[in-house]
Amino acid sequence: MDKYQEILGEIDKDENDKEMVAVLNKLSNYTVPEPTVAMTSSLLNNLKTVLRENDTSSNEAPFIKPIDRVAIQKTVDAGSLLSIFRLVKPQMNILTWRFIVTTSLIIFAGIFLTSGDTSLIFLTNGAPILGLLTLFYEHRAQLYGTNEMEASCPYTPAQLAGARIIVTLGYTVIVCLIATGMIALSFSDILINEKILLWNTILAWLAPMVFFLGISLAVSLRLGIGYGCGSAFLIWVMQIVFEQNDFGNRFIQAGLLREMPMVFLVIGLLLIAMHIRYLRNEIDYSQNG
Amino acid sequence: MVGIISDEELARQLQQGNEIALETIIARYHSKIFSYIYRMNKNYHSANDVTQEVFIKVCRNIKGYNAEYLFKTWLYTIASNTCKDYLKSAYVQKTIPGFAVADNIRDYEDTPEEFLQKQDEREAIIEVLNQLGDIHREVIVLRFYEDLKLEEIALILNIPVGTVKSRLSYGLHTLKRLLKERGGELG
Repeated sequence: MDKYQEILGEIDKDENDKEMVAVLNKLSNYTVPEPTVAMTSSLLNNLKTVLRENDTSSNEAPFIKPIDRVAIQKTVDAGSLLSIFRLVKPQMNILTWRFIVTTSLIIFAGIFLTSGDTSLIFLTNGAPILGLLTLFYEHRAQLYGTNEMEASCPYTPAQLAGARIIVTLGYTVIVCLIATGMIALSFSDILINEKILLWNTILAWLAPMVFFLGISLAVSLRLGIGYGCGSAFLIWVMQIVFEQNDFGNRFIQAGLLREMPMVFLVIGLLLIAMHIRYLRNEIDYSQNG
Repeated sequence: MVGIISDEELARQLQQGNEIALETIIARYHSKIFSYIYRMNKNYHSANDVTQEVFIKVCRNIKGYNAEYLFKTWLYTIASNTCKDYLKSAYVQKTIPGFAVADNIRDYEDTPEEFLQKQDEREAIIEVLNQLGDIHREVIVLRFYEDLKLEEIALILNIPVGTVKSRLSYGLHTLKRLLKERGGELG
């Protein structure tokens, strides 16, 4: 009767509802035949067979198709630079639409909300951050511990790194060039006045961006991409702080930094080249034989 | 005092291929799943086949079972889906128009008169149950005969608890109306 009370309570009926109790009584008349002992025994035998099949299939070593390393070697070596360009397209897919829209909107909104020199300062300081974010986003698979999976693909780490650097630089440069165009439209002196050449404007953001990318890649060789981007970000913050204080201001005013963008650009490119060269020489995942 | 091993622990042992665990699970659930399927498709032999299929699915998919969830609801979910697939199958649609008459069950302690009376009552309730929609009948079977809680039924059928409650209420009220219409006195 407890079960009846419970069910009647669930359908908001009084436990003394005689009609409903009678319905439940009628329901309890519906008995069903039990499975026979033979049926249970036969079922058990069948299931044991299934269970053993399960075990056998899971214990067997998975059959791995032998890798044709010569063919892979040929494919990968057939024009190392060509292989990198082949890799660029899949690496581009790593940049999601959400990332592209968010980051580019932040840069364009920054340019839109500032004017003249402030726009230039914003772009000069924003480009390295955009570069670092893109680089980190491209390498975020490392956070999921998929290094081994990457290592098992026929491309070398150097080729992968090359493709990712192309994507990072490509995306950042495109966004910053559009931003430069926006500045040029509102600040026509850039195109007209010979003192401020368009090239100088581009160099103003390109140099620090390449420099900070170089630093993060160089550090990532030892500490991983997270620390690489983190340390580059720290240096970026220090640079901003340095520019804000009196000594930094005097340093800039003295014109000592006038020739610096090109130096930073070269240092950055050298660090990137060093990164790729290191991966090419030191890390060899290929297994001969 | 020896504790009873939980269903979830048995399932964990079954994942490792333990045949004793399989025997215990069958001892606990064979009859229950069989009666559930029998009440849903009304045929002794097909109930046996479908029950067999349910347990084969359990064994094949046991590695995918997450022991954080109740084994009972997982098992009944498989049973419910297998039963629905069977009832939807071309074979059933072609060969069993409506439901077959339920098999007779005789308690040999009954006199022939008592047996006939029980048989009449049983067929009457089967008939009115058959007049219910599948969704309402299934909830009544799971709640009344399988003694599952509303929350467990909700998990098995993947519907909110409120829906289970309303289906149960609607089903029982419809049964009451149908039984009255048949001229039987209630209460």
